[in-house]
Amino acid sequence: MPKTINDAGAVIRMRVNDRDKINYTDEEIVADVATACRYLSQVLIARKSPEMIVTEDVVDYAAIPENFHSFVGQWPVWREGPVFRTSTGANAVTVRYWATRGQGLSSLTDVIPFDEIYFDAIVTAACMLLLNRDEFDTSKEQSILQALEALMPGGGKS
Amino acid sequence: MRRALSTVQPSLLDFSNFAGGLNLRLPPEQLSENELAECVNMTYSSTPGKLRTRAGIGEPLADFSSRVKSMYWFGGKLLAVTNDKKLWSVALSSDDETAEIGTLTGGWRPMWCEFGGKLYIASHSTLQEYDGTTLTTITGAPNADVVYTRAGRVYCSYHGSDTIHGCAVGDPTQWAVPVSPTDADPVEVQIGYKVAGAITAIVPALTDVIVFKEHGIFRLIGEYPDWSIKEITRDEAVANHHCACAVAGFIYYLDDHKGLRLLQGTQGYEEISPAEALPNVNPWVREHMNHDYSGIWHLPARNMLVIIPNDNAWNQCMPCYYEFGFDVMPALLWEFPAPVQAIIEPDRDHLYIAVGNGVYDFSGVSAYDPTGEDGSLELVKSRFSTKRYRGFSQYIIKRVSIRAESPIKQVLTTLPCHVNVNEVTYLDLLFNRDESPIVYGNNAAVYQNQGELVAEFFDVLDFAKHNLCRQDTVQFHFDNEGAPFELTRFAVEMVPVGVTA
Repeated sequence: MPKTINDAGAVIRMRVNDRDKINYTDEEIVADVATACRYLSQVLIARKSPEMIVTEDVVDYAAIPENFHSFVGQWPVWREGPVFRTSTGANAVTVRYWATRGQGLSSLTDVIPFDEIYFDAIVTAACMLLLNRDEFDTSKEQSILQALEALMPGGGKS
Repeated sequence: MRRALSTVQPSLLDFSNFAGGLNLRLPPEQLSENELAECVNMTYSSTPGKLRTRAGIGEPLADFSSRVKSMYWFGGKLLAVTNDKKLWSVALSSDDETAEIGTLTGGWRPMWCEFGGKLYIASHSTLQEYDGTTLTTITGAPNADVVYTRAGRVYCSYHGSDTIHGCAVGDPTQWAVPVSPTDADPVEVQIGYKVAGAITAIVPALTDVIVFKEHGIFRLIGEYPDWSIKEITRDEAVANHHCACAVAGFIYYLDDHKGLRLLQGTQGYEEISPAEALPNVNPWVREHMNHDYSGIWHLPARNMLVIIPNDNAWNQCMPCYYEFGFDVMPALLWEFPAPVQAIIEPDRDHLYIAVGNGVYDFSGVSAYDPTGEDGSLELVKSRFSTKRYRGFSQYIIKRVSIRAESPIKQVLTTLPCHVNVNEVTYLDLLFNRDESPIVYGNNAAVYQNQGELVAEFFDVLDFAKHNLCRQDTVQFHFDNEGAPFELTRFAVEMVPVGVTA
């Protein structure tokens, strides 16, 4: 059963002492979970985690996808501003690129675009953002997140 | 783990003591922590500064066809006067019956005075006497709306004249001053002859009798025949004959324009001067002052004054508590289902109040007011608000701890007392708490329990809440529709954010 942002919100509200939902709005929690997802994406991409690779057929002047981070390896395709360029014109070239996740998350019912093993890291990162908004000392969360990141797949190698 | 802030340390606010009472003069952000920005239907418990819900008035002891406008306790009887001039004896138990005693000669709110075991009643017409069974109009007595006793005589005055009449020594049936009077004959004295309007109210106080005229105050010093009259001021205008009362050498009175005022003696009664009283709530009194209906009642066994400045459409009155001194007399506000025109305190255990057309027992036997539809009983609704915190920063409430007691036991209700931070409900206080065993952990309780499963009523409860709540300003509001409560402790951990320590 994939976890939704609502599942994360329940845990987050417990961790940041807002069980009664009077301090943080749902919108804030959705936004911070989305930020946490994008942050996690960057961490995993930096570790060259294969699960962040996306394959796509592109043609000349095809629009860069919103989640495009960087190419995996070298291709007869390059980037020019908001578009892909290729010397093959209208003939599609299959490329592989690193893609972030978390774009378009806007509602509590949205599914968190990561496997469950990353759930706690996302929750902890979102908690840090929320607590930081209220000027709490988040050094404990920082340590927890570092520990979780080190234990995540690929963590030992990075 | 107690979470620290990266900038400042949280501060603990303790609102356990509201000895400052209402402060309606200053905006809520300028109040002290022991003052209240709003307070309706709370009173002080016997512990200094602790607030508790006021007693309810319950079902009426007697219900009349017109407004009850005065009451008096005489010879173990509660007397009431209704708007149609009728004098009643009010039944205090189911064995008694409310009975009409007679009709007053005048239509004003009467003044009462006991002398020689009889009661003398002045209602803006001929003085009357009540001996415990019969109401008699005294033949030859003057018209009176103020009556008092002094040095073996009954004295009275009538609005419209400058004269105080005194009866013959010991004989309130003799009022005519003979041509060659002796010291024991009836007496008359003019107070401020033809100046400052008519006599409105008279208060005997220590060695003097203070006479309030429409535009001035005089003192009648000494006893007949060694009277001397001194003018105190010409700038004060007492509202009516029920608007002045003496409390331990101080005289409080309601001025038409200035609200509550105080006559204070310096060096005994060597010098007397008027002064502002209760500056924190006087703007409210002034705003609601009504010339005809206002009044002050003194409840000595409770160390209270009750001020009713309103006209006959307002349902509020203001209790003032002088228990801890006259200079720090906190005031609160009570609201009733109908206008209040009289409060009478026979003794420490009893208190009766006239609300609308009814007479009610206000001594604390009921937790209910007849505020529901068609006068049905509901728990007394009360509310109060603390000072408001406002600054350059925002504030985070981290946790709240409340200890509350229920002064009336076993009030079963599901309605809580909401504790709000501004508009946000932070915590609910409910004295019925279900602490029955967990169903799956104890099957016996479910299948073998023949009794009803009800929530248990706790007399004293600690309520605690740990939840962040960030607000631009912070003001705490208690809003209670449930069981009456006494607030023993109310502590808040709060911290400003958006600042550098």
